[in-house]
Amino acid sequence: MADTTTTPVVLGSAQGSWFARVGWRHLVAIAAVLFSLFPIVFVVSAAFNPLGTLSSTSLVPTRLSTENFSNLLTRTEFRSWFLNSVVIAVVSAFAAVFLSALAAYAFSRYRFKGRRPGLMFLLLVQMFPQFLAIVTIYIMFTTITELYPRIGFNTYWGLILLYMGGALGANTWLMKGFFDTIPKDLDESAKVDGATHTQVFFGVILPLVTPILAVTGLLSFIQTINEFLMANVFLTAQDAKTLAVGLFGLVQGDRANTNFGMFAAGTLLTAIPTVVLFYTLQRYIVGGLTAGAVKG
Amino acid sequence: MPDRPTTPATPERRKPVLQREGWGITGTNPLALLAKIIGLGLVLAIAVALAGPLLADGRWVLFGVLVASTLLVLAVYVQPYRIPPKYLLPGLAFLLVFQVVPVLLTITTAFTNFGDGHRGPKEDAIVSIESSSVQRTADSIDYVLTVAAKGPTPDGKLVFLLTDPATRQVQIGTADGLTPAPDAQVGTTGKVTELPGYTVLDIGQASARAKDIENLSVPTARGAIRASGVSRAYEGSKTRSYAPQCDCITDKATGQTWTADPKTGYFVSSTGDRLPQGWRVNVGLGNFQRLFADPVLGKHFTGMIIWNFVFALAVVFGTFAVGLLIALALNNPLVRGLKFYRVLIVLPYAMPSFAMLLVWRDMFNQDFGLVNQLLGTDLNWFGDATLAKLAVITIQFWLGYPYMFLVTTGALQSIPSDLTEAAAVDGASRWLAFRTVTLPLLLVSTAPLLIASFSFNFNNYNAIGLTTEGGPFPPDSPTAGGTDLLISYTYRLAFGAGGAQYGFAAAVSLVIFLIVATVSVIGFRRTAVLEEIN
Amino acid sequence: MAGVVFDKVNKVYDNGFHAVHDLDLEVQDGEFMVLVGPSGCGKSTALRMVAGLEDISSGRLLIGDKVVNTVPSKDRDIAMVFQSYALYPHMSVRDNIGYGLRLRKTPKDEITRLVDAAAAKLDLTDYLDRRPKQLSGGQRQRVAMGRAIVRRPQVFLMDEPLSNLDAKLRGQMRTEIAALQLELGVTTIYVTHDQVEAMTMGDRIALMKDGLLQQVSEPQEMYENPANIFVAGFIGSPPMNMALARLVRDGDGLVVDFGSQRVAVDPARVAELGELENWVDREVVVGVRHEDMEDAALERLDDGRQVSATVRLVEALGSELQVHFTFDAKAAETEHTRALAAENQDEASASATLLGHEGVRWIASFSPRSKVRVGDRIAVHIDSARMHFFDPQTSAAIRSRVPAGA
Repeated sequence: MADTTTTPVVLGSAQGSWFARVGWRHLVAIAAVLFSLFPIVFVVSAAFNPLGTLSSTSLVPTRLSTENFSNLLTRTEFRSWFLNSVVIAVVSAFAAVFLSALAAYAFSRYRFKGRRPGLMFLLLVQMFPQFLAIVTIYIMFTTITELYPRIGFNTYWGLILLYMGGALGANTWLMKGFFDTIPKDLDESAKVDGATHTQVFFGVILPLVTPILAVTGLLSFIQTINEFLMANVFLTAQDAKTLAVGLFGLVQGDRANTNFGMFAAGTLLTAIPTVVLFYTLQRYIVGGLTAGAVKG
Repeated sequence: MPDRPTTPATPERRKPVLQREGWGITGTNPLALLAKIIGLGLVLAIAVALAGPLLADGRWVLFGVLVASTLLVLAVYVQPYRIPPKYLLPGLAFLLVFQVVPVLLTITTAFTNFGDGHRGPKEDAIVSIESSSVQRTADSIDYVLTVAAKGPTPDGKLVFLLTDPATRQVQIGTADGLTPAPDAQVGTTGKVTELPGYTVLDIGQASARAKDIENLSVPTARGAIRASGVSRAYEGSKTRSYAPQCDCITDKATGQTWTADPKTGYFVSSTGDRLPQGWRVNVGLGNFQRLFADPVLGKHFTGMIIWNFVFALAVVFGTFAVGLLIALALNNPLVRGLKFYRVLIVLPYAMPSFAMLLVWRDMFNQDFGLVNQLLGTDLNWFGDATLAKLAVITIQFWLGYPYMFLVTTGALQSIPSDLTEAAAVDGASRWLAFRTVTLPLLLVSTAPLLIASFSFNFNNYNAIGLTTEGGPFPPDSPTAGGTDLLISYTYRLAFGAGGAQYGFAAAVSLVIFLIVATVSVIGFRRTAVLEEIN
Repeated sequence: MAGVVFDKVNKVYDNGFHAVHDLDLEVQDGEFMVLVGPSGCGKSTALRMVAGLEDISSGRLLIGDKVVNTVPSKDRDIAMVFQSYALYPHMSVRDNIGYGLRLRKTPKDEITRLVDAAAAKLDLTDYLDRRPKQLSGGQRQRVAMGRAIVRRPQVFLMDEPLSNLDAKLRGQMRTEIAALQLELGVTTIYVTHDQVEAMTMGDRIALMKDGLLQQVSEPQEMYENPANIFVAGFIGSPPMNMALARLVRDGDGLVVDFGSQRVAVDPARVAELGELENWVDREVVVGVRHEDMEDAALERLDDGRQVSATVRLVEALGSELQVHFTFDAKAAETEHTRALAAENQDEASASATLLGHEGVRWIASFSPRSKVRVGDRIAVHIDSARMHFFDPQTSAAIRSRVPAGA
């Protein structure tokens, strides 16, 4: 993956006016920034709008107030939602990364019967809209809740287990592509040096694939934070809800849009962990996303 | 060694002696062995913990599955020869239990009429018909009712604890019937205060489950026990009953009969009336026939498929083209403030998408929305099919283009600069160099992501479900809206207000799956990604 | 220390490809054995079977006196140097060299001592805290060597360890590795496709083709008494010149008849190769090494052992002239010559453009005193006491005795 500081070739950079060379680039960039930002600015404006309704919100706030935030924290179970979301997303992301790294290692490093069909199967299985199986899953978890209430409805674990079911399909291909770029000589050398296959996995491979671990972890985190359909079925108790379910409840059926300010405040707070994570891992993302695919 | 080589005879395939690679249980490394023993011990402990409730409940099939899978896990990790299963098993186990099995079960329902009115087997329908016909009669016995939930939380399965006011004997009533509960602690009013294994609900908790209480009917020999409020229950007698000889339901009061129709899963009277409680029957390809043959639905269905493709393709190529344009513009160190631009442009990708979808929905609000404000228009965005389509594509475009910007930036940077240099030296113009060198290389590396993006957007429920909810709905088609994707349409079929049609929804899901899988497989073939699996 | 024995070892891949065919080879304790052959000949597969990186389809493989067919790599007490060096990018040079010791739970201070000693031997002391990325190609190669020697294994395995270096470094490392091996006295199996490496480094050479062992012997023996056309053509540079000819009796002696010209075979050679008598009046493949020819103009005598030829190319190397010439004869065509042509495709296609229509193209080393020029019609003297003869059907050498080691 190239660093942004490497100098690409600038074709025809020797000729042309300033605009033809650089100017248009700024123009495109500024247009993109404006388009990217205006809905977010709107959310910020709504969050700090003391009236808290949609109709009273404009793009640029006229009066600032933190009322929406304090309302959100006192009148709703926002704290629990936030905690639930972060716990579920963090645990799911780690579990998903670990499970799919294990599988990617097997698919990348070993040749075995069923490898090709296995990979094809993973590709296809994620194309079935899983949430349409929600009825079956609901029935399944009804039984589980009866037998083992700790991993049933309204618990972290039930939802996390369910999300772990989707881990392989979503990540294995991306990861395998990256694993394939690590020369096989390294594993073999380690084996001759005396390493077992687990020592090869943890000592040699994992440290070398951190970019893709970071990327899949981040993608999985974002996906889990945003997951709404399953969580909505699973978490019905107010204090068990995630941010997606809880915030949706705020605006759903709110025809007069009076909760909009609180909702906007919640959106901003929800964005914090994702944005922080996103910018921490940013240097891995560009390379990690494409490295697996680029080798062709 | 022979003096001169002989041509190799047809190589005989001997079964190779497998080399042991793992430690097995006889491994040499004591630390690793310890780790393994602890790990497998943990598996056993979990298995034992899971087995308890299964045994207590007498669920022998599940218990057998548990034992078999535990043995399988132990076998995979104890044997030292086959390594890949050791790495695949954890992920595959979750995949199988929580994704493959539910999906397969769902697919089997595509060939049934499973849904509201057709949930269970015929016996259940009969019990339901009989017990809902229960009426209070003069000789009805009254019970003191305590509402409880099975298990340690108030969300467990609802049961009635019924105290006979005369004997103060307590019985547990469920949809399966009555069982005695000699361990129950009974208070002075006859209410049960405690019963091991159950959670007694207080008034608040009970009223939260009023609907469950109302629907629960405990079958008895005379009829059934039903609640009247949350503290009283009565045993009434049924007015309708099933007779196996005629395979029909007879109403004692009116003498009317309804005969079972195994094709539709209903009891039907001679005049064609149907009792609402049906049962689940196999309808073969009926659901699929309905999808394509039904004149009204068929017309909208074709339109929906076309719109579905338009939506997915427009989003994929729109985001790709614009993402690439910005990536190209910013792929130049002469641009000052490059990092600053990048950080701001990708911000939508980092925002919670579910929330931003709802924000956008409100921004398209006709009266107070920001879009009309900014454009100075007064358009009813979600009220007009074309405008609504435009709106949902715009929204999804906003959410998706930063991702494409990131991906194409990465791909651009990984294209070796000597290639574009070579093209420049060859005298290619900027556009020609881009079209003949950069773009093809870029497509090679991003094609798999484009295909993934297509299959994601083809099934992007949130993009519709959280914004237009499928609307606007034309007057002649109250179920298929102007912006409905197959997936949102199916969701409404399965969970919408018009009564759940799970079987039909599953059939549509199957069609969706076939479309997406076909398109993806063709796409992957063309980009030769599949050839790389060697 | 221990020797390595291949006992009828076979490798058949899952797709049916038979990579190694009934390999019988005994590497002595402390010996430097070079496995050489064109790519795809099975030499790397054989090495990887010793390393435990490939399963053995059948046969027995022994290290010391222990059958190791099912012993995992880590328990074979071997060290391997890879073509790519396979250095762990995330570890410092010190950790790279010490990794094997760490896996074997060697005490920390012992690791430090051993790594320092190995580094000193390889001139790496100043680089111990660097990452592999920060090293030059030659230094990386040394680190790979250091990783192998630090553990004092029973056997060194080297898979084309020098092929990623430039020509000058390669020559230097060649000597260093040979010296190191001599000093440590560790049994070494060294795989290469480069016959120069094979000739200069090995105590013995095992030459393979298509999964079959062709010949095992000391380098000079292999050069002088190749077992067949393939060995003759593979060992030596430029390769041995070949042509198809008829062996005929002429008075007391034997004569090689190329068609329009004849060359008398030295009687001593006829005596040496007893089998040759059986080939009178039959076609044979004649082989002549480039150094066994000279510009006849310098010899000033005509003993009937020369051919007239046309000079096509002269390469002055200083100590000698390499003269490419063509003369009227039939080219030898056997399965082995075809394999060699495929192996030296570049040279073959170059010669095709130069070939014209006149017979075969040979290369000879002339004394720098020779004055031949391109286009000259010259006489080339052949030292027929050192001529080689091969069976045109089987490609096997015609000789009187089975050479030692085969």
